[in-house]
Amino acid sequence: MSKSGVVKAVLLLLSLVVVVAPILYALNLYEWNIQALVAPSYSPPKVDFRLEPVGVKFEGGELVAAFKLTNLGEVKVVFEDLDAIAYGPDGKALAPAVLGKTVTLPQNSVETLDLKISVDDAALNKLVSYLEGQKSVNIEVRGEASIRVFGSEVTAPISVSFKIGSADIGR
Amino acid sequence: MGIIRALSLNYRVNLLGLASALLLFYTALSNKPWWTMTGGTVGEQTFLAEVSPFNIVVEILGKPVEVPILPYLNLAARLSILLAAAMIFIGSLLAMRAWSKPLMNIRGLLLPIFFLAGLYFGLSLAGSYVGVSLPLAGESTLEYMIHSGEFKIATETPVVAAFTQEYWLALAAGIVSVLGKAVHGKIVKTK
Repeated sequence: MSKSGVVKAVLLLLSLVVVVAPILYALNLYEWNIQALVAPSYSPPKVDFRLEPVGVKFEGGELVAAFKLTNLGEVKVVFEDLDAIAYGPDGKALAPAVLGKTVTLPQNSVETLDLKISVDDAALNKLVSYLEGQKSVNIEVRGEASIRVFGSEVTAPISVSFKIGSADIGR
Repeated sequence: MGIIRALSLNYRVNLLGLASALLLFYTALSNKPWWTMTGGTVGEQTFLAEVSPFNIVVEILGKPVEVPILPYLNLAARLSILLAAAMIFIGSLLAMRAWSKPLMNIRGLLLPIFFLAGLYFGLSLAGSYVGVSLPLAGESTLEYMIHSGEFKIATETPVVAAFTQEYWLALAAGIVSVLGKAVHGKIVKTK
């Protein structure tokens, strides 16, 4: 065999070894379980928060429902906007609801989230009629929340409810 | 033949080969990505992909995605290019020997080409799997719908993808290695 032939053979062998050896080593490490070797693993961070009603008040012709917002997850969540409707106990639409202000919620933190419900005379009359003979009634707010998580804009359905009593309207 | 004589220091050393070998050594020893894709806004990344044949980093929502075989494939690619660079280096120094010809190789050019093809294929596969269009280069907005029971959660993520300077350097190294191989043939023939 010529010198060139020997060089070619050695190079071919070396080239094969550098490619095959790491793969063989990996296969041996995973006891030839190819599925375990090629399967991606990923543990997503927990995204979880809790909304609890803390109070209701009238302010400048608006019904402001305050919620205690607890971030139980591992990521920062920013509540940017809300496009929702408040519904009475009979399930009928009462008035539109919006977010009082943007709420930034770092992980493991608690903030107050205000929902502002524009109450005109018709809505106010409806509310008063709901409360006739009742100590309090349940108001449900349903719609879509715009949330920013890790730089992504997320539009997610949201449904929260709170109780309102005659005393709250009188305030 | 004047150029060949100049590029080989009078048919003794293959200078183009040496240059490509040095560039390939740098490329193979660098951990910098050849291609990056980031999703999200500045400072808040929904996902991040930093890819080169020698190192792959993928993070979604700040958590890494790991595929056990990838580091070993990266190691194989790194060793392969280091070997290719070493062969070109030795071959270029011993250009006057006839048996140095097989040492000259074009693996340095094949890697950026296969990388590009692999990236295109990988993005098409990932895109069709998730149902989004992932750009190879440039900016776009990923719109993705998550169905959770009766609810639909819509997400919008700005995405930026780009080839880095490292990729173009690797491609340049590959092109120089092809030129080096062509010159080497002429040096050996002249001898």
